Amino acid sequence: MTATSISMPSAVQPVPAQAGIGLRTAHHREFLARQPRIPWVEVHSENFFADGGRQIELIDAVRCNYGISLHGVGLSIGSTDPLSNLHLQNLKRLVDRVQPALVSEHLSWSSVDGVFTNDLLPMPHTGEALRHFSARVSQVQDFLQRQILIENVSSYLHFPEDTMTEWQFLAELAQHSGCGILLDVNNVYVSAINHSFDADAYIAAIPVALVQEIHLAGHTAVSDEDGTLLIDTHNAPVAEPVWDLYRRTIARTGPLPTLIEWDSQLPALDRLIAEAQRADAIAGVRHARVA
Amino acid sequence: MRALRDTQADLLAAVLGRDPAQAARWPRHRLAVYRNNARENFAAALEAAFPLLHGLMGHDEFRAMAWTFQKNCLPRSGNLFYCGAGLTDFLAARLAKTLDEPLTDVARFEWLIQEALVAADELAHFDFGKLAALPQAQHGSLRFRCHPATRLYLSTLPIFTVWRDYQHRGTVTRTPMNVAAGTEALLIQRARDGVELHRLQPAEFCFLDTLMRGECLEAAIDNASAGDTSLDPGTLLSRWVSAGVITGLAD
Repeated sequence: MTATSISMPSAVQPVPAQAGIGLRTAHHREFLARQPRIPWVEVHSENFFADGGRQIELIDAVRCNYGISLHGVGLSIGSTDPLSNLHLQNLKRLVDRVQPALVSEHLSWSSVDGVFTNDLLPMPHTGEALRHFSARVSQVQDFLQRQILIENVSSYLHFPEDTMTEWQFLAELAQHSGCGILLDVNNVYVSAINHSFDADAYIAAIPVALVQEIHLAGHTAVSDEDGTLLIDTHNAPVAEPVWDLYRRTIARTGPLPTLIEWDSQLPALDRLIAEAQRADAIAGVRHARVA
Repeated sequence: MRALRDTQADLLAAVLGRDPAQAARWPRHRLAVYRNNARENFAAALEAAFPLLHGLMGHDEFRAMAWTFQKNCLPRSGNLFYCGAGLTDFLAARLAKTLDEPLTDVARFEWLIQEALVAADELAHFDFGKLAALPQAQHGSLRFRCHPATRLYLSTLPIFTVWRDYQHRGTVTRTPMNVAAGTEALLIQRARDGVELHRLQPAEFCFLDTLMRGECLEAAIDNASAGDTSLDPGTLLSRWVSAGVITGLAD
């Protein structure tokens, strides 16, 4: 019999209101060997769409001892192209197998007429876009038979067609579609600098009850014709102003699952864990970590 | 107000550099962030899937090739894994009759590895009892199931040696890829942490290739025997069953 083996899942490990880390390929071997004392990890869903093999073994092993958040980057929910059946089926198969505590995607789109740009492009903030995105989130949630979270992305452009702010769009999206919000505090900060809005006003406008996860990451500042442009590069420690904004966010929301995202120029695993510990310290998380 | 689809099409055309008029609508430096992200994400995914090709070409040439490939064969999936699927055909057309033409075979080899790495697992072990219960007269018409995570590769390149050296050193230096004296026949088999390569004799390759294409044992023996009359089908079957390549009788 040729088949993808479906392990009988042990109890689903929760994603508690503590900090976790993004688990990337370069750390897989060390992570499994050391079993570091963190409660949960986030992985990119598409990296585990395999029919079998090492990646599937890895996620099966990790899920036994850690809460899992599946974070997608390729579904292109905001596109007007039809959602990819293959992508949805692969995601559903992975969700059924891993039984993650959280599943998330982005407030973005990547394709037109079947051509993809392999980046997260910003949505226009219009009524039509809101209705479209909301319907597509519902389609995904119906297919997966579970709630998903939608993450705000960093942006470098905005559309002349915009009729509302991003935070209004995100809040209304969550209320209309029933999705949760993955609030990327670094992305809020990056976009705030790039578009000259008040990051605290953004945070204040997001309904606290809808936020289920927070992302923190590093960014890069470059000189722009308009001054400083921040780029969401995930290749550095979390910047101090982002820690400050996180502190003010947590003061409003209370402790939430908080992810340290670091995707390129990866540091040693211990450095990532230290960033997670800093997030916990800010959130006042003092209870014992899982062994 | 423009429809959402049109607004998105305008921005995508600007990001991909397909429409200068659209590109002019946006601040150049900011549009460049999306353009760079798209290029870097694509090239990095390609580099991860084709490490040997990357080493042989060198970083700068590989990146330039990746971007040309992306521009000419626009991605059709949001899953970056698939970005390498068309690279062999792209290089075959681009490098035909050039000194770099052998790189096409390197790309084909590495994509076979990628396919093997993500192929399904095989749960069952070969059921010898089922085989023994069949009348010997039926053996010639038997068809076998092979492990999904195996691939066959035939080339005039000395790829086995190049790959082994790459695995040993972790790097590869660009040297002319000399065509081997004869063909090199390999079985690529997924292993615990990567893949293993098995060098095959031509008749052995022919035997497995016939079986993997779903043809019967008799056809495999006939095809393989054409190049090697001393072939022992029983020994061959036993070897590849033991190695987990032939995993059962086809339904």
